Amino acid sequence: MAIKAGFDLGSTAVKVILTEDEKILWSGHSPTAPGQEALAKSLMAKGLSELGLQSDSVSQVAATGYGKGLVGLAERRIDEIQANALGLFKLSGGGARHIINIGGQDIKLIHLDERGRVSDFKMNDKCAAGTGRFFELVARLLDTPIAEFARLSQEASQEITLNSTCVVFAESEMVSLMAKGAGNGDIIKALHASVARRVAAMLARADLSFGVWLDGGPALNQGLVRALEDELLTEVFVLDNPQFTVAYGAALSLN
Amino acid sequence: MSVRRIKNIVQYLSFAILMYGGRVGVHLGSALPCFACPYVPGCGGFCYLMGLQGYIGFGLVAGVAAGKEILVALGWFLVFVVSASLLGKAWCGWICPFGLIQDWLSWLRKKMGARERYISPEGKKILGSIKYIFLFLIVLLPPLITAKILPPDLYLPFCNICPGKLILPLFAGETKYLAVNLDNAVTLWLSLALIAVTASVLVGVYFKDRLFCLFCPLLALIHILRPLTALRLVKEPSACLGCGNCRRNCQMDVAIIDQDIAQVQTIECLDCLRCLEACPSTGSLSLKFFGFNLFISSRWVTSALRLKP
Amino acid sequence: MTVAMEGGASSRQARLLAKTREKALSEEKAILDWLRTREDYRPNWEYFLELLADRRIETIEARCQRKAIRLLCNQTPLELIWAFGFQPVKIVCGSLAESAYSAREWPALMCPLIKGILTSLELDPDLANGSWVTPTSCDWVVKFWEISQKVKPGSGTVKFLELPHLKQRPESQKRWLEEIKALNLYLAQLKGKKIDRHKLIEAIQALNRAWMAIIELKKARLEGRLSLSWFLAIIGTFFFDRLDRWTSQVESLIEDLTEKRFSGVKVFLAGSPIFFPNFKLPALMEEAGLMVVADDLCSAERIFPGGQVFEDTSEWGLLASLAGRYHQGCLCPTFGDNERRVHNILAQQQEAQILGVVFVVLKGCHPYDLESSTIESTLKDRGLRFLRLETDYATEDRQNLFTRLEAFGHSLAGV
Repeated sequence: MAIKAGFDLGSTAVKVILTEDEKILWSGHSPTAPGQEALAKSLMAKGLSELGLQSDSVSQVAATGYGKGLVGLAERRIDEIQANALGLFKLSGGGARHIINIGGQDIKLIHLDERGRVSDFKMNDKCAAGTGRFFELVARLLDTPIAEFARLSQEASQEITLNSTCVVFAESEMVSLMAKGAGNGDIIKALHASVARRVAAMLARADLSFGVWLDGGPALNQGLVRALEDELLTEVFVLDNPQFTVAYGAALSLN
Repeated sequence: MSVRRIKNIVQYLSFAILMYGGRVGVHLGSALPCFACPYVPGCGGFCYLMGLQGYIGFGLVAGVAAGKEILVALGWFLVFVVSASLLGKAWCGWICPFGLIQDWLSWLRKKMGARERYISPEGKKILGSIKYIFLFLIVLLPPLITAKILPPDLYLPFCNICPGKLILPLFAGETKYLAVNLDNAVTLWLSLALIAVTASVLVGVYFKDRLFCLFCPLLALIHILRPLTALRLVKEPSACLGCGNCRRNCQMDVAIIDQDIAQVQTIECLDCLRCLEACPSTGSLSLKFFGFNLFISSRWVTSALRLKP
Repeated sequence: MTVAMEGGASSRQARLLAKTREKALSEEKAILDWLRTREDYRPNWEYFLELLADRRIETIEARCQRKAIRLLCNQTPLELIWAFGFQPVKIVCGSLAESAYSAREWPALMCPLIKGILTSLELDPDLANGSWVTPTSCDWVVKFWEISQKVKPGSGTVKFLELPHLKQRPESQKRWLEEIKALNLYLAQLKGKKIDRHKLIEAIQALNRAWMAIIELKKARLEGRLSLSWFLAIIGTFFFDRLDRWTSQVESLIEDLTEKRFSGVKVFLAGSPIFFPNFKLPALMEEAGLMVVADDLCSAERIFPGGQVFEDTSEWGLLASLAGRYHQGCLCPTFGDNERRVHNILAQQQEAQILGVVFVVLKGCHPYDLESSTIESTLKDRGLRFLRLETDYATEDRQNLFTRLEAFGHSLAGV
C-alpha cells in the first residue's frame, strides 16, 4: 500500500495527514511543542493504528511549515506557500484562484493561475496582528474558547470598532471597551471586523471575482468568514477541514 | 577598438581622399554632401553646393534649361540624394574635411585647458536659422545672375563667403584665396566678407565644438532627406536611465537626446556617436544602417572611459 | 549631589555604550567568520575582511595617509575629493546593536541606518570631528547633522549640498552645478589651495579604472562566478583604502574568479541599501536558492554612478560633467522624476534572464517604500514577479523572510 504522509509543522500546531492516491485517509494535529519531529511521528503512528495499518506502511513523507527542516525522515521539503496552493487547489476542485491562510503567526495571501500555480503571494511583515495568536490572546482575555466566537459574534448587540490593529494595543483597547460595558459578543464581532480589514488591506487591488478560499485554523470561525465577506465584498469559501490543506499539499507534492 | 578610434580613422582617410584624391586619379564627382572643396587643387571630389549654384544647379535651370544639360543636372541631383540618404549625417561627423578641421580646433582648446561655451537652445535656434539664409541665397542668386539682374561677380555666392574656400586650399599649398581680390567693389567686399566669416568661424569653433555646422546649408539639405536616410541614430527610450551622459558629451549639445523621446536625431545631430559611446545602458542608443545595428550602446563596454591622460 | 547623579548617569551611559560596542563587534565578527568559512572564500581575499574589520576613521586615515571627508549618500562627486588629496569615506552602519542603542532616543520608524550612524558617532571618537559633506537627499539625511550635534557635538563641520529633487529639469541641473562649484571652493579652503584640473582628471581616471573592476565583479556575479554575499562584502570596502590599492586588489581577485560555482533562480535585488554586518538578507537569499544577478542598491552596484565620460577638460567642464553624472545618473528614490529607474530592472529581463525582483524596504526608509509600489505594478505588467520584503536590522523575522524567499524561488522555478 502506498501511503503518503504530509507533515505541517506550524508555529502553533503540528498537523499530520495520511493519504492514499490523493485521498485523505486520516488527519490529526497537536499543539506545537519542542521535539516537533517526535510529535509528528507519534501523530503519524496514532493515525496508522487508528486506520489499522502497520507502522511501516507509510512509503514517503513530505514536510512543510517552519519546522520542516527538523524532520529527518522527510523525503521532500516544500515551502508552505506552495504546499498550501497545491492542497487547496486540489480540494477546491481546481476552482480556487485566491487563498487567504491565517496561521499561528502570519497571514498569507496566495494568488493562483488557472493551473493552480502560485502567481503571486503576500505575507505579513513581523507584526502578528490578525493571526491565530491574536485570536488566542483575545480568547484568554475574554475567558472564552475560540470555538464560541462565531456564535457570540452573532449575538452582538451593538456596533463597536476596534481601531488598533496592534495585538498589544488591541488588548488595552478591549479592556477599556469592556469597562464601558461592551459585551463579549460585541468585542468579538469587532475583532473579526478588524482582522478582516487587515486582510482586505493586504489584498489591495486584487480582482477576487472567483471568490476567495480561507484556510488555516481560524477558518473554522464562521464569524470571521462573515466579517471577511463583508469587508471583501466577495464570497469566502471554507473547506471542511481547513487546517489540514497545507499538510495535504505537502503529501500531494510527493507525486 | 572604440567608436571614436574608428571614426578618427574614417575621418583622416576621408580627408586624404577628398583633399588629395585627384592627384592619384580619384574623383568622387560633383555632388558630394560634404565640404570637399573644388578650390583645393587636386581634390578628390566636389561639394554639391558649388554645383547647385553653378552649372548643374539653379544657375542652369533658370538660364538655358534645355536638352542634355538638364539631364546632367538631374543626374547629379540624384547622385546627391542617393549619397546623402545612404550615409545621412555621417557625411558631417565622419567624412567632411572641414568638420575634421573644426575638430582640430576643439583639440587645441582642450590642450589649452579652456572651457567650451554653451549656446542656449534659443540661441541655437537663432544662429541655426542663418543656414536657411544661405540656402535662400544659393537658390535665389544664381537665377538672378543668369538673368543679368545681379553682377556676374556674385557668381557662386555661397562659395565666395564659405570659410572652406579660404582654409581648405591651404592644405594643398594654395594660398591665393587669402588675398583680398581688388578687381572691383563686389570682389573686394566679397573677399573681405570671406575673411571676416572665416576669422569669426575659426574663433567661434575654438570656443564651441563644430560651431560652423550650425550654419551649414549642406547639413540642412541632408536633414531634409532624413525620411529616406538609411544610416540612423536611434534611441530606445525604454532602455534609457536618463543619466545624461549622451547630452553632456554631445558635440552639438542636442538638448533632447537624454529625454524620453525616440526620435533624437535633430537637425544638429552629426552622427558623431559620442552619445552612443558614452551611454551606459545596453541598447538605449544604436546606429542602424537599413535597420541593422552597426553600433549599439552597452553597459559592459568601457572604451569611452579614459584611463590615460 | 547633582554632580554625583550626573556622574552616575554618565557612567551608566558609558557602560551601555561599552556593551553596545561589544555587541556590535561580535555581530561583525560573526559575519567576518561566516565569510571566512564559506566555501567560496580564498585566503588572498583576507584584504577585504581586514578592511571590514576596522572601519574607524582614524584607521582609514592612517591607512590612506590622507584626511577623510565623511560623506552621506551617493551624490557627492568622489573624484573631486580625491583630486584635493582627501579620502572620501561614506559613513554607513549595518549594525543591529548600534541601531538599537539609538532607538532608545529616536523615533521607532526612523531609518535604521541613521540610527546606527548616530551610535557610531559615540563609538568612534573621530567620526564626529572633521569634515562632513551631506547632500540633502531623504529627510533622515537632511536632519542628520542637526540631531548628530545633539548626540555628539564634535569639532566637525558640515558642507550641505542642496540636492534638487528633480534631475531632468535644466533649471535643477544648473542649481546642482552651483552646489558642486561651492563644494569645490569649500574643499579648496580646507586644503588651502585651489584645485588642479590635472589632478581632477587623474582622479576621474582612477575612478574609471575602479569602475571597470566593478564591472568585472558584476559580470562575475552575473555568470555565477561570485556570490552575492562576497560581492556585497567587497563593494562594501570601497571607501576604506586608497583607491589605487583597492582597485589593484579587486583586479587580482577577479583573476581568481574563473569557474562558475553558483546557480539558482535568477532574480534582481532592488530597494534600500544593505550594509555590513547586516548580511541577513543576502544569506537568506542564497539559502533559499535565489541567485542575484544584478541589483540597484546604493550600497552595491550604485555605490557611485559609474565611469565618467568627459569631453571638456577645463575645470568648469570637468565640474559640469561630474555634477551631471552624479545628479542625473543617480537612481535614488528621493528624486521626484525617477521613473526611468525601472528601465534598469527591465533591461535585465532580457539580458540576465531574471524571472523576478526582490525589493527590500528597510523599515523607516520611506522613499524606497513609496517607490516599491509603482515599480511593482510596472514590473508585473511586464511579466516579472515581485517580492517586497520589509525588514530592519533585527533578526527575529528571519524565518518569516526565509519562508517568503523560498516560496518565491520555488514559484519562479515552477517547482
